[in-house]
Amino acid sequence: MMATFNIKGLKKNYGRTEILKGIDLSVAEGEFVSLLGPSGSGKTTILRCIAGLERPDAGELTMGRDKLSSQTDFVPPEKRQLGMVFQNYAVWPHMTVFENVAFPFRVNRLERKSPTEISRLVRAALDLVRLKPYELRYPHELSGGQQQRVALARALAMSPRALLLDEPLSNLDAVLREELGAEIRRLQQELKLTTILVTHDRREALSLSDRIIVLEGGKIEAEGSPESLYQNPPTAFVASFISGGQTMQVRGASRTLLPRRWRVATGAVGESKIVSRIYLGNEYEYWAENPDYAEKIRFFAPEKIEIGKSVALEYEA
Amino acid sequence: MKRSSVGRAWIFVAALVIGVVFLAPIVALLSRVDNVVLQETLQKKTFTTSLMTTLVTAGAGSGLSVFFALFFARTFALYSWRAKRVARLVLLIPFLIPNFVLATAYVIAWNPGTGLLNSFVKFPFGLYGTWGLIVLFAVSHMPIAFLIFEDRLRRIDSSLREAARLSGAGAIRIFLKIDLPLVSPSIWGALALCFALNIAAFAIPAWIGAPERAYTLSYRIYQSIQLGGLDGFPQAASYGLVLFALVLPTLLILALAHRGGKKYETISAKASRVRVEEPQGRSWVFFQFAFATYHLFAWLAPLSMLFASTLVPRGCLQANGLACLSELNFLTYRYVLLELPETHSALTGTFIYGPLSALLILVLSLLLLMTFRESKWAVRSSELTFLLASSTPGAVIALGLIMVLSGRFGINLYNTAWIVVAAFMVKHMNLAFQPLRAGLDSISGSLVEAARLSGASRSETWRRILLPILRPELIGGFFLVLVPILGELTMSVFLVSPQYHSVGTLLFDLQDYADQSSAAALSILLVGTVLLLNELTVRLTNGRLGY
Repeated sequence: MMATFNIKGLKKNYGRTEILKGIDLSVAEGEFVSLLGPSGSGKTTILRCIAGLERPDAGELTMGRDKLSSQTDFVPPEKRQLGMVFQNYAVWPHMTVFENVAFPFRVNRLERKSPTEISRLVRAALDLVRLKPYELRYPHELSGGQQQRVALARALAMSPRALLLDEPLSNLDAVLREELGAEIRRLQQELKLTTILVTHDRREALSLSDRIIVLEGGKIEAEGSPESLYQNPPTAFVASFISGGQTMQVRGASRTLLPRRWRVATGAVGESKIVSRIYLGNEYEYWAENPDYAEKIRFFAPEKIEIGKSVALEYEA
Repeated sequence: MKRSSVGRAWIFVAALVIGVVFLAPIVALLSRVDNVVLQETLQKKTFTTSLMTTLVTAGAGSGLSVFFALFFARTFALYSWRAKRVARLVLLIPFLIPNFVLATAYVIAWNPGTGLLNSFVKFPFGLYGTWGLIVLFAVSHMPIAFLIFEDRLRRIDSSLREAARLSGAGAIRIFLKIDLPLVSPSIWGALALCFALNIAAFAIPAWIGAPERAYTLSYRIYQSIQLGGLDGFPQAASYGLVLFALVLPTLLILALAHRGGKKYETISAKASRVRVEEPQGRSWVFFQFAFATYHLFAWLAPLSMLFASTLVPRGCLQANGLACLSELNFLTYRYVLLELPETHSALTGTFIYGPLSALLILVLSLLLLMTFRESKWAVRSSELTFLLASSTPGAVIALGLIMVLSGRFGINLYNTAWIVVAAFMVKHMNLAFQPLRAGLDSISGSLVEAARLSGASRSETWRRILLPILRPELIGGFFLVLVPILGELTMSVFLVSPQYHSVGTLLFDLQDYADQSSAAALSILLVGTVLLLNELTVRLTNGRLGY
């Protein structure tokens, strides 16, 4: 049974520090939602409250019809039927790949399964993450990416009501990150699994999610589809964090400008002087000085422009 | 996952009980100090002499330990060679073998009358008395200082030395200007630790100091009880108070050295490098020569004499010297194992109650860590309690336990083996608790969380995840505790009773009866057992524990 999460007025303090200042959010069945924000924004705390690894100080958390946490109720993590993948893999070093994935079945007293049934389920989960040939290996005999696949298989094997991902890709190198990210998305869509991803990487959130919730200082700053947040950021913070936007003083007024909305007017000589250029493979990133703007303008263009040259820049509002 | 308020109250009560139980003997003894007797004791000339003997021998011994340890540790930390593990074991042997065995070996080798090595090399300034005490303290505790320095020197990024070298510094200058300042907090720490161990030692003063009337404070405590019985308690308590007062500042220095060590922590980033090189050149030749000479005289030659004296007819070596080596036999072992009436109870005491105490210590440590898992302050306060108890001189603990467990508080274990078990637990809890705590800390919290999310209860998580991962620490912790218990004498000598004897107390008696051959045979059996246990520890923990 998949789940819909509803969170109302979630608060959490560590000592005197307010980590979550009253979070309201919901996640629909089969939806892939990313909690995106800088360090200390409270995204991991929300995930850990959902998992039951933290007890909220206030607020209510429901999954489907079940109340997971409120002032009076608290369902312990082992009873929530949630799969979770951790940043540091959390693959038990003294168990083989097979034993790691079989663990949830072996400790679940409510739904006892026969060894044959467990083997079938474990192998199916390993097959999903393409690790079947590695089932007898120990974690130290696997690469980081393979270990994270084991963690994913373990989380998926017990057919969880939802999948929680706590920065699962941040310890991997760039190539593996893209590969495993795509695989997570494929599995989530195949299994139609409600998934919540915690990340501080906007590219990860943009490429994987159905919806992004941006957090800042323990509060929700904005939420929406990746496209809407990227193209029309509702606040300066979202613009800066997701679209790399710049908030600048333009003729006495404060404006948020997105680098991808600048266009170089072909053939025209303007007042923006190129001061810096970085080659990104399929395009260039530029920084230009313009007397109308207090700070340097950041923009992207496919063509190579010499440093020191002045160009005319147009902003598409 | 936070605990409920009932859980927190339970943890508080448990931590409080641990504090009270473990520190009760110390408090009991110190509370027994009579002001008048204390004043009288402090004014006696014998006290001043004993205090001076204690301070001079412990201080000079720890200074020498640190000097040699620094010299050896540098080469071990920076260089790698083929037989390094064996060389390291050679260096650590005086730490592994009980102090009374080492003292017995020295007596057989260099006692002024019949010492077997006297005709080859005389012991400088005579074995018995102050000089002998200093040398034996230095030799027996040098490996502890070595372990501290080796660890610290290993952590120094090799680029710091390379930069000094490129600046024109030679090996000696690099050692003096780079290595030494970086390990300076550890030097204070090692000095304090060796000093604390020296002033609390009983076997070495009993074997080496007492024959020349060079009495240390710990020996004076023993004497007070021996001569005065229960009437000697107030005087023994006064000596105990002074001994305890001498240990406390060393604990403070240790704590400061630990903090200072953190300040000098040079390896924390991933980028730092520690390069281990092949040794070469004249300095390597000098090191090999110094290493061989030191260990030959420090323990190899005396221990060889100890071994030799067990293979010849009893008393022959003392009467006829090394000429007896033509009549090798195992009769002494036969006598000790089959004919000496006290052997059976001594072996039972050491090899039944020793492992039993180690097991109880391990189980209690584990139960406490399971209870306190989510309460850092409870772990820290227990750790501090165990550290304080382990730093307390054995004589103080033993006398304190006699007072607490003699029926005054409803429990009477006096004159039973269980009071010795209690003493081992108070003194050695720290040895098991610390590695287990460190092992538990090194397990990522997410491993536990993943298990809970998979449906495992708290107890199941312990049984299936934490205990299997902690297995090396559990095995290693058991042996780490067992080895010092097997070689314990300071507390046993006070707590010995018709129901409890140990190999240590039997050796002490044999020494008194001047039966050196039997003492030597028992010593060799004990050394063999300890070395075997060490090897087992290394193998069972894949080299993570043991030496």
